[in-house]
Amino acid sequence: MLAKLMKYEVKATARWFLPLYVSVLLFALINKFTWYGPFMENKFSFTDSSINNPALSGNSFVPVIKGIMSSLFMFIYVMLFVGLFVATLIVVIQRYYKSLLGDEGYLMFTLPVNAWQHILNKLVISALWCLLSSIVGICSILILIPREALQELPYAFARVKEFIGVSGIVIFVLGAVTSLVLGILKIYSAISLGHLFNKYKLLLSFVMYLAIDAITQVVWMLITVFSVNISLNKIDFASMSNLHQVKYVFAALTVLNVVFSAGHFLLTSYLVKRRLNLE
Amino acid sequence: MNNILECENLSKYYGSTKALDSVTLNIPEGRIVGLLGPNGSGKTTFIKICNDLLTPTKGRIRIGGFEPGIETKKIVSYLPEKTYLNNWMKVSELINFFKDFYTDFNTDKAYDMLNKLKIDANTRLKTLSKGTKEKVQLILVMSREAKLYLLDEPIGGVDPAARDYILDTIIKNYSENATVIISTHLISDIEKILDDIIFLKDGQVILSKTVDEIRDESGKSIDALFREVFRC
Amino acid sequence: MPWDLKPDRPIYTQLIEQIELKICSGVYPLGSKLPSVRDLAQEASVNPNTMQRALAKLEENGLLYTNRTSGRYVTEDIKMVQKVKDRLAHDLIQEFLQNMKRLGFSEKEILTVITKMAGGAENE
Repeated sequence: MLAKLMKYEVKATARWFLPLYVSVLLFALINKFTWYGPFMENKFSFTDSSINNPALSGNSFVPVIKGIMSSLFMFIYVMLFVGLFVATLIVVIQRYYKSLLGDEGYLMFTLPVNAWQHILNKLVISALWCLLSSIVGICSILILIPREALQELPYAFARVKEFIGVSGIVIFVLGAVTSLVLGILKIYSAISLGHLFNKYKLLLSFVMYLAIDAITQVVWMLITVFSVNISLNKIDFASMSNLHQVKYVFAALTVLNVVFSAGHFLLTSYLVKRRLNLE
Repeated sequence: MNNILECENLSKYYGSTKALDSVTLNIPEGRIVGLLGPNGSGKTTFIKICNDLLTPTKGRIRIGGFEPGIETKKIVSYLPEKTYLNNWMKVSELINFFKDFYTDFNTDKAYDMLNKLKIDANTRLKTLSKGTKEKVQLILVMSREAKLYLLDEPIGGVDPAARDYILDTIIKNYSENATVIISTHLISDIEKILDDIIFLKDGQVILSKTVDEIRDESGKSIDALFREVFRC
Repeated sequence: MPWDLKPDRPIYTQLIEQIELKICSGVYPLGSKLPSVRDLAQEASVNPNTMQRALAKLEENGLLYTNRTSGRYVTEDIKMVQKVKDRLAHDLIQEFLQNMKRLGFSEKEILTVITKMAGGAENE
């Protein structure tokens, strides 16, 4: 059942993301061409005061066009890049808010499927799109980076690995992924809580989100303060090396994320199963 | 004969408002039941509870022996009052969707009905008119071989010819093993296909009889009786 | 002939009457096979349960009979159908007489009107 839900979830969301991904990558490529390629040898530059600036010679029509074009393309790319993350966030919210708690909820909640399966479905697929969007975003940046800088990347990566070790990378990735999952679940909780009321649901959801966020921050701060002062048999934080401190922090973050995620998941499952109030 | 739906003292309170108040009903298999009452009488609340879309405050309800949950959803087919299908899907995709999740879905029946109503399965739902969308929803719901059909205002927004078709479909689909509960305002159109009538007022059952009993005892149609009982 | 069901009387009794009428008028000839309950219900736009009850009652009265393998049939007993025809005619005339009396016609006047109208119809 869960697999079927996910299949339809992907179908419903892919039609937004795939064109967007293609556009972002396409414009990254276009910009690579227009900024670095031979095409733009002669482009008009507002800031270049050297003797080569075509603006200073009489013949500036084509270079002006080239200049405008390349600025335009860069503008479009930046918009698409920003749009990528905005769209991802909007889709994450919409897929929960509209699809489960809107009219479509009548369809979803009469399927012979558990409430938690619905939530898990949305969570997994939303997380996947977030990851994909990030990857596409990073790829587009990589496309834009000049070749010389790109060649240094493997070395930079090796240095990082040397410094924090494979365990460090694993902890970092775990921390990042669990943070993503928690982030999405916090949104779901906030929406579900806001939905308990009859009016101003969206506004209250937003308020709930701020509240949840604040509570999470407070707990995190308490743990950090606590950690700095503890001196258990096995964990003596103050005397750890900086590196170990960072690793410890990320590990603690991961654990906290998992605990909070579980809590939010249980909360939303309960709310959606027992306190559902579709219009 | 078995009862497909049994509820005892079923109540739903919202603060001090009693949407449903101690409803006790036993509905057998193989009946077509009319759930009638003015707006706010509790019809929709009752139907939502049957579908596990609302949790009762008090009392219990069993459908096919189970409390509302996954097991009942497998045997209950629900037609809500509003359009609730994903607009971006094509009709054929919706059929596949239903087929995927409901083992009792009869694909041939669905396509047969679509053909009779001249609806092209390849069109996207959002390009269809409201009336056609409602017909598609009805077809999907009636193509399931469920044990309990819950139809909330099935003929409300449709033209008279389509209304006849829908009533016809309900009769044609009739099975001794299934029960249809229809909640509606358009009583005169639907009276003659009903077996039993339940009048709901302010969340309570004020009448539960067969159509013929009512006509016999009161010498009136259900429609006329309704107007009398619920006079404003 | 289309089914004529009034909303203020029990459907079940009306169905019985309508089927009796159809048998008497030859829409369902003697010995003919009746359509299935479901088809009849659809034709009349009524609940199959109600149609079933009506048919069962007619069977009880002897107008219909069921052959277990092939379905329901109209009786071949002409005398029985004639009896029903007579009964229906009697009810119709009774009602007619009552209505005419309500209009103020005496029995002799009623006879005169009938002879004139029925005779007139024959001459046309």
